[in-house]
Amino acid sequence: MRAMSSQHRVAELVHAGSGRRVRRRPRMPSITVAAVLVVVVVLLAWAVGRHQSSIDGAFAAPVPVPARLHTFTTIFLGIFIEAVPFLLLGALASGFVEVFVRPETLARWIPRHPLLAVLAGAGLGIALPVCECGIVVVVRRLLAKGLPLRVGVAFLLAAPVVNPIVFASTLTAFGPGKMLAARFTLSFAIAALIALLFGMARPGEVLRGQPGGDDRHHHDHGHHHHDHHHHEDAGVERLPGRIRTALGAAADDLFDVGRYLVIGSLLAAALQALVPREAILEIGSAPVSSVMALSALAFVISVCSTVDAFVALSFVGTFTPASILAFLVFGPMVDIKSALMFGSIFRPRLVAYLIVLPLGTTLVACLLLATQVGF
Amino acid sequence: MRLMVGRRAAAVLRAAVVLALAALLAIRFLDGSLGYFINLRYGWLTVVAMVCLVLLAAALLATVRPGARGGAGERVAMPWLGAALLVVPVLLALIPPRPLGTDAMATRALQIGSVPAAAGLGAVPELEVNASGAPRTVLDWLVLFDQETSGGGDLSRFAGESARVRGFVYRDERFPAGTFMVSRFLLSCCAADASPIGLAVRWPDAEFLEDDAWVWVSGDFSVESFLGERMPVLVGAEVTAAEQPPQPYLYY
Repeated sequence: MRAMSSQHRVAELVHAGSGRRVRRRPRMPSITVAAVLVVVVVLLAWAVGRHQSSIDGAFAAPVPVPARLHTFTTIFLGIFIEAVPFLLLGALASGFVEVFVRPETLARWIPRHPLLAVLAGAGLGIALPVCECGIVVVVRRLLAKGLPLRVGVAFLLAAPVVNPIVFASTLTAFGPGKMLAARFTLSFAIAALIALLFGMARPGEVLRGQPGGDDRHHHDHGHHHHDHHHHEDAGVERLPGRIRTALGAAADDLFDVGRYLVIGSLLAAALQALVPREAILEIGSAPVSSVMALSALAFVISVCSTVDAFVALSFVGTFTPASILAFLVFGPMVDIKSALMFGSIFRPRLVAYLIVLPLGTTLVACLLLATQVGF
Repeated sequence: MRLMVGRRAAAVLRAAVVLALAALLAIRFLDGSLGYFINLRYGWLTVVAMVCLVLLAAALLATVRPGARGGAGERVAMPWLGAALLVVPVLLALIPPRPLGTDAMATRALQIGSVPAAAGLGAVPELEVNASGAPRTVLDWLVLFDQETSGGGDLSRFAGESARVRGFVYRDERFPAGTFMVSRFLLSCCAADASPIGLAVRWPDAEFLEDDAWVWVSGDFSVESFLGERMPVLVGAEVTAAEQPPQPYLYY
């Protein structure tokens, strides 16, 4: 508890320091009312829906709903309902990892040999299933604790894919086939390769300031769950309190990450329901343009890696398999939100490398797979 | 921009959003419409999600209890954007649920008389004809056709075989007069990967059928050319109105 309240005080001081006065308004009792209203509206809608279906299976809505909107809604909710369990499991895993696992302990098991260390770093996500949003914070802390740079970079790039939750969601979406195998192999290989390159640099040239000393930076990027990243203090807490802290972190993650899932699902549903297939097919069926298009889309929509497989499903049949693979490999490594967060660890030039190198290697690998292996 | 609200208000508001999502899943699960959105094979995952959501809401509400940590007047940043976007699925769920129909076929590749090549993407699943003794579905027939042609056989083997299948009516401008497609959507995971499949049907009164209407079609196959491809076409002897099946999609 102590950890939380002191963190909150820090947050308040930060606010005061930035010159923005927090105005004291009377607390909104209406919020409780709003909460009740939401629940009531949902229950009402259910009752109405039941009533309708009992009258006649083909009963139309009270207000006629255009067929196109029905199609859009069904696809959107299909992606969302299928993805939400994985989003929640990912958030819970990362919340519990935050509170119960000391990454430093795990990091001690990393071998000394550079290549082995990189491979271990790339596989660290299996033990620490944090998604691409949580990973930056963990890597920052590990680097501050003296984790070799190459291991940190391997972990940073690989862990959003190489972890059990993403394995389960990709398996659910695509089945035990070549897409599953290619996604994991390629992500692992690209992460390891780039990590080896980074290993040649001296940490001083790469890292921004003193990692771990500048907590405020994170808060600037719209992340609210850094209150919970204090194991040293959390260790003092008793078990029920720690579980509550973990659940709180998971709830924060849900709100941070859930919005990207909603935006991604809305875009994917719109693409399917509103855009004629012929219009996309020209881009989607050509080997090079399809890979470029889906890599760009992955960067823009920033869907969490635990659920991006379900968004990718909607491209099947319109886009080439290689381009869907690019979406699934490049998206988790780099997207708008993670690129912004990289800035909190690395110098700007290195952030650029961290975007360009994964993009380049993914494009080359996917195009080779498409043209040489017939993926 | 950061908007600050009271810590308790933020917790209650976020718990309300989380509970609304749980309610959305619960309602779709209970009223039987979950199968319009996802493959029911994964229905248990929806239950897992409901449990997780209730847990999270409880954890959020636990911080509101009198005597919980934190000062009463403390203000925190509320993730307004995240909360607003997470309400979007709840709002869209207020539209009465309906399975995909002919409208969704406008933007998809139709598979008439054959199974989709993209099915499963890579690991093409071993599609099997149901052995339960239940009447053959549209998919069962397409799989049989596929097995015959990939085994080097000839489709004419099916000429004269009789069938009775259920599906919804689809027609577009390419269809010759007196024909329609008795259609189903084939699903692997969720509505996003649905692909329309169907059997071509020849029936004199096809023009009077409404799109999306569910029908039972019985008749015999005749192997002929349809939209430029040679395939078994069901010559409809009887087309009757049908109930929409509780699970409108076929799964693979």
